Amino acid sequence: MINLKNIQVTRGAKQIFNDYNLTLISPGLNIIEGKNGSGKTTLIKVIAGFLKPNKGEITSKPDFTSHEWTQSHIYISSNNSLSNELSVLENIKAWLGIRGWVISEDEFEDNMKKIGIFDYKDFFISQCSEGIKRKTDLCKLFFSFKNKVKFWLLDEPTNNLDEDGRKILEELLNKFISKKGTIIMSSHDNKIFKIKHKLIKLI
Amino acid sequence: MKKIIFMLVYRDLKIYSRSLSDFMNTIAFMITIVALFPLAIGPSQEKLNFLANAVLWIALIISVIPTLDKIYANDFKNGWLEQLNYSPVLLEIILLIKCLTFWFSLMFPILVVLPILSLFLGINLDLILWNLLIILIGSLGICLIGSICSSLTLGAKTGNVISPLLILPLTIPVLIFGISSCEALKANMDPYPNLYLLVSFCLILIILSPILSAISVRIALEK
Repeated sequence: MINLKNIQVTRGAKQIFNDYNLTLISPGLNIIEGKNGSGKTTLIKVIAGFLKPNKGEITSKPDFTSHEWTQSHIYISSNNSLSNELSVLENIKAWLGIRGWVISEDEFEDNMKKIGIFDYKDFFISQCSEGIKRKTDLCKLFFSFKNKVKFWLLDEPTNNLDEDGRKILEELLNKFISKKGTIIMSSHDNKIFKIKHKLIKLI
Repeated sequence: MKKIIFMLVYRDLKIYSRSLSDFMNTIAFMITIVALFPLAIGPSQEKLNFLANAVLWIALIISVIPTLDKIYANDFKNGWLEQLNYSPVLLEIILLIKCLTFWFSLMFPILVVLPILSLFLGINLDLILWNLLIILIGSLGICLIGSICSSLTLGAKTGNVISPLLILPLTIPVLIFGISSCEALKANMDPYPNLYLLVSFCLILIILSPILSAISVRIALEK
């Protein structure tokens, strides 16, 4: 369960949230919807712990400020966290490496095939299309099932995704929810997935 | 933990090996400075001998400083620094490893070129190895200072202008202790007092730099 009580967040001179309250469903899917600049990324960054609110309180289990919280969630930002100088495979391996997760080569291959990036595994990110980059970033989610991940924080994960990619993502979301996972996702369109969800509208 | 550190070093070395042109620019800049200097001061060997160490150190500092903002800039832009927060290893340790890997990648090609440049400036063969060692220690200090300054300017639009201006005054102790020990060697004097000061300064930076860099990176990630 994650609760935000009376939080106030300012970015630069702009006040994004003032006395904002929010209770997220857990386990389940929470979709944050709103126009550009309405604060979707800010809200996800606050929940991820990157952005500290000026005022207010966030309660979560595990404790929001603890190391356990950092270890129990995956944050996929809207700009893919991928290095242009590395290949698709090397990027994923580096990401798994810094989290300290050990994955077998078979599992790698399986997951890359599932999301449709296996044929591009040796391509440098600079050579890939935006869609492949997004899929490479989302491929990281497959590896969370064997590790103790309870939360996914996804910032506009459907950007640049084709129809197949969206279907695979929907299957992934369903699978994660069935394993008692909590997803907090921002999107321009909440009707994109046919999954029961809590809608958080930002104005 | 060992595996995570190995992965960090492996990833960064791979990236640096694939963006060699950045480091080649540094070398080209350094060679240009050293090559132009004798032409500027005239044909006197005496003058050149007198200025050789200073030229080498200034060429090193001037050519290295512009590359230092690359320690974190790309990883900040592509979101990798955000992901480093999810590692079980402390961010401070990760940043120190990043900085050391950068230093190694930067100094490896420089160390190949330096003996040639030293000969070009007429530095004694016996002193070249010593000079290399002192420059190696000094460059570590410069990279650690660069780590603090480049993390301070992350996300700033004018970061690549501000960062060198911040680094320059902080490198003065490295320059003074470094040149002083090189000059002491040249004059057949004891180089150790200045060398020890240089090493002490670098040791202090090894502790302070990752702590300050991590604070700056965390602030930058709030943007």
